[in-house]
Amino acid sequence: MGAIINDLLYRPEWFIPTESVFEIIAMLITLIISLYSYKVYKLSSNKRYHYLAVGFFGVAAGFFFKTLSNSVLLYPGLFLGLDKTIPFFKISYFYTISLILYAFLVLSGYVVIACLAANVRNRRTILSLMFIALLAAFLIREARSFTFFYFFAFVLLVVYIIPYMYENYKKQKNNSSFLVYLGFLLLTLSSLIFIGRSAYGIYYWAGSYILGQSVGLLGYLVLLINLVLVLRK
Amino acid sequence: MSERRDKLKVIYDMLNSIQDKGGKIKPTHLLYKSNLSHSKMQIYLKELISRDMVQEDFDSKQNRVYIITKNGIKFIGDYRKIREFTDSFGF
Repeated sequence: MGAIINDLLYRPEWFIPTESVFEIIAMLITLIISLYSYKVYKLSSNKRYHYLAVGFFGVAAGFFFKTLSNSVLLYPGLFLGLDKTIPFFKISYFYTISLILYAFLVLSGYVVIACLAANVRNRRTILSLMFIALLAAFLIREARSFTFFYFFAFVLLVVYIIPYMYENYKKQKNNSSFLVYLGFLLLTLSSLIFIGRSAYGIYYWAGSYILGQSVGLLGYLVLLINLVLVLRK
Repeated sequence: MSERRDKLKVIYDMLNSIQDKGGKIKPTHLLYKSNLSHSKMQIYLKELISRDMVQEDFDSKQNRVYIITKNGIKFIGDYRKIREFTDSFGF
């Protein structure tokens, strides 16, 4: 694997197949939430649920590209043949572009949800946040670092989304609003673990990466539990 | 909130009122329970009948009554789920 592509994520190689399963689960969860949000929009004509659907769809699409980048590392043989058949195709470019798209789409999804939470309607502000998402995505290749990606995700969650979800929980005082708050809180914790991992250079401790991924997955699972409980009522 | 959302809430309140009365209600009771003007209630009732959520009938004393249908009961369930979902995110 290493001879063909240098992994940009500094993670234990043996964990990549498990991580891919995590990513597929997260992709399906965010896609289901996106589809249900869209259904709510179609029935209620509440545009905010249209944007929520777009936000979660962005995150789901991001996970699709992350899975694609992992599959390049797991099954390079599948992609090597494309070098010869498709002009200008390089497996390393495919891997890097997939990772950049992953970062940009996930952050864009968070930006949309953050703007909904903070009721940001100013187009310039939204566009600025999108450009920061784009910058964070490109820094993955330019600086060979995911730190800014995790940091921006953390900022969006802590500054915009978490306070709103907490206020909503205080207002609603029911299990479903608590679960949504908890889900986003776990996603924030996951970003914090990854920031700590890269900021303190503890790449050598494989457990930090696995912990960050597991907490992130748990966050999405909590959001799924909420949806299942809502639909079962 | 959008106009359509308010409309959904009105429809839910009307259907819920019928269900609370055992699935059958007199127009005067529905008018009181749904908190609408007579003309508005007639508009909504027409729509509910056209969507097969409510049926118009007459009781043994030949008084007009409105009966909730399976579609109406399904709408109540769907609306509660949507409401729970929207409350959980708060948007």
